[in-house]
Amino acid sequence: MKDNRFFNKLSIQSRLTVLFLITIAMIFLVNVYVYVNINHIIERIEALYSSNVSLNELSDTLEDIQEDMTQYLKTKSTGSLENYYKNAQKYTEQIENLSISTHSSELNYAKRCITQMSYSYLEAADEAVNAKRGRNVSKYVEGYDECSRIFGYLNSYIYSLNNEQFKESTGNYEGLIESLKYAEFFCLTILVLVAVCNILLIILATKSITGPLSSLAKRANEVSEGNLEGEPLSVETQDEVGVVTKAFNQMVISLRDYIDKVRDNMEKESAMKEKELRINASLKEAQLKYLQAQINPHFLFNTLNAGAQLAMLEGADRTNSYIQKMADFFRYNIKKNHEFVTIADEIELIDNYIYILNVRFSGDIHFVKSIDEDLTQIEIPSMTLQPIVENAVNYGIRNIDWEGIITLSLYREGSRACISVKDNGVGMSKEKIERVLSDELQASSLSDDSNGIGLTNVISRLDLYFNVDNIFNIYSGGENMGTEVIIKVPIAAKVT
Amino acid sequence: MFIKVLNKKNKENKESKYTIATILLMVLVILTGLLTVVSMIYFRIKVNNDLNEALEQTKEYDRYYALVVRDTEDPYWSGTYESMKEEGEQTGVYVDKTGSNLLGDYSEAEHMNMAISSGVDGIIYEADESVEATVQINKAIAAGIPVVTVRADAPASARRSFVGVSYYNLGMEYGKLIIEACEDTVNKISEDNEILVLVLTDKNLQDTSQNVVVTALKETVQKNNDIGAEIKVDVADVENSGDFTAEESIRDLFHGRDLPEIIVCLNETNTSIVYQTIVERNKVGETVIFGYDDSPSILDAIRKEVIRATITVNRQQMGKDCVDALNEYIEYKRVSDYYGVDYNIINKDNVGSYAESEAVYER
Repeated sequence: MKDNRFFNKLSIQSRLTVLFLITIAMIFLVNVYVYVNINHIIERIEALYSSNVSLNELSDTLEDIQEDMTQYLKTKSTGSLENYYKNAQKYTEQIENLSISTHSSELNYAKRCITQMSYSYLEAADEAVNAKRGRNVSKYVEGYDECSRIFGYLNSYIYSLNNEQFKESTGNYEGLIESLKYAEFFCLTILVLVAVCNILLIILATKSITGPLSSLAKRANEVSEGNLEGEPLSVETQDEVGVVTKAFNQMVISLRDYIDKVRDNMEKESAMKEKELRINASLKEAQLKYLQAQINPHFLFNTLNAGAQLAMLEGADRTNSYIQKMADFFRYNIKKNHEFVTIADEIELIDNYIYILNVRFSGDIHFVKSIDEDLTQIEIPSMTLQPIVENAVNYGIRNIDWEGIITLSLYREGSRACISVKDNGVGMSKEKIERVLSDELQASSLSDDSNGIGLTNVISRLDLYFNVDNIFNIYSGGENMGTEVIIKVPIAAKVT
Repeated sequence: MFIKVLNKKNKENKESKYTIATILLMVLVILTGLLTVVSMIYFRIKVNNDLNEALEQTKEYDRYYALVVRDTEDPYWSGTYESMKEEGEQTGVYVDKTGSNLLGDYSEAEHMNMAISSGVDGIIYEADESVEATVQINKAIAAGIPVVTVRADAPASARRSFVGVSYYNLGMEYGKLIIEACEDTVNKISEDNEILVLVLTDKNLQDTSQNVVVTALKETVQKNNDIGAEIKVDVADVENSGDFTAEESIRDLFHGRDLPEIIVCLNETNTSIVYQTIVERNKVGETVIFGYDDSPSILDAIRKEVIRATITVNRQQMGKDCVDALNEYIEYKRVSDYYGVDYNIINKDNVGSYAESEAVYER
């Protein structure tokens, strides 16, 4: 497996090169194996027949010697004598080097006989030649006869040995042929095995190249179909495919991150839109209510102005002032039909409202103000305080036996400006306070003579504008203990 | 989740496949390597096998002896030659039957010349009493090669020893066999009260050995004849000069006359021919044949009771003695003048066991 890891580190090009080199090396080795075997056989065959060759050479030389000697004995020619000596020398060498590739005792004996006879022959021939030189006729004739006799035997021995050798060689040759068949079988088997090895090797190697590629392609398809969630592809190799796979994995991760980010943004955007819609809806509701309320105020305002002028002409100052205040009250409704007004504007409206009510109810309501003038320019939604005061009058102090007092305070509390509307009326139970705060008190339960904007609307507008906790609170000591409504507006808050 | 598990499984599956393939590849590679090495070694061994086997058998010999016989093809020598080789193996001697592998047809004298030219260390020679044989022996002795005669002697020569049977004893043995046979056939004796014994000798054997056998045979028959009938011993010379003359000669001998009661053959060829003739003339049971030597056909005839008995020399002993005699002479420069060889009488009672013991030496 170590090799495998090494293999995985290579690039595809190197891997293919290594693969081909291994394959070629294997085939090359098989060829070497086959050639070694064949060479071995050929060497053997050569060795088998080499003795036949050397025996034939021996026979030829012997023939030459006999001829030369005969020639010399006949003609005493120096040429033939020279040849005789040359051939005798050659023959001696051949005899000494005569190698018989046999281990058969019989053939070895025959070889020994040939060697010994050859020496006898050469001796006899030398004697004959010497006798010829010494002109000893009877001796050289005798020597020649002896030579011829041994020559005959030698030829016969060489011939027979050659024949036997050939027979033995043939036997061995058959053995070799059989061996050749074995070699053929082995070579073929090894070749087949090597081929199978090569095929396996190639399959494994190409698999290691194409495997990651196809899984990469599969994963790419999945990604293209929108599945970004699967596990990242494992990078087993460090080749080109490995690099691409790594890049692909990185790409999938980036894609996933990007999509997450986009989704987040979209969620945020839609949340903001929803909020905007809700604000708009509240505003529209308030505006609708204003419009409804404006029908009369416009008419009333004009008529009241006419009444005020009439009262002034007639010298009825109090009536003039009363009608003037009423006209101002309604004008506020008409004029200040904006989103934001200063606290000072709101307080002025309350002053007018209380004045009108006091005229109406014969000065029953004692209105006390405690105002921090530094805070009067803070902007708050319009028509915030009037409904609270109206509630304090209608539900707090209308039906009490004692003198009703409404206290309006504006003071700083930390980073907040607190607007408190306190009455000493009938008070509220805790359950009722909770119901009011949790928006359960329906508008239908409001009294007919309210100007139509309920506490719920006030609370929701405050929440939407300032978007801070604890902006609207109602406190009450219980029955007949009065009620206090406190609005805590952030001083530095910019209206969103 | 499920898909993930499936993927994992798939991956594991793939990995295990890969591992299996790798292991398979490794096993194959190892197998191929092993096969290559093993086949290489096996192949070398196989190619060298015959030669190696021969190499183990090949032995350096201290001495070389030549066996020179009249007829190299004569089966008579096969057993003897085998025992010579066996004895030689044990004493570091190689014995070669000169001329047996030569293609030409050479005379015994030429074989003798070849042996002398080959410079052998000793010659075992099937001699006879001819002058030529004596000359050959003396020539070898002069060349420093000791000669031991076997089967037949050349007493006049300088041969160092003779290995063979005592012909006189052999003749006596035949005589005893004839008397036994006559006792068995006494009832069938012909009107003229005469039993004819025909001894077939080899005309061309220039040897006194046959005469010794015949003489001893006659003496024994005369001395032991107590059956009240005359036993007449005749000798017939069978021409054996050519390859096929013996057969013609024997046919001529029996042509147009009654067969004798007993026929004694003194060589293997004559025994076989007489056996064939008797069978052909349908005279089995009427003529008693005593043979010489133990060719398969003779042993077969004994089993069929066509031949009453045959006498063979102990050829194993003879071969061994030849080698021993030469060894002794070469080592101690002297040797006993005569090595007596035992002989066996083979009849239907012991032919089975004899054939079995002899089978070892059959070629």
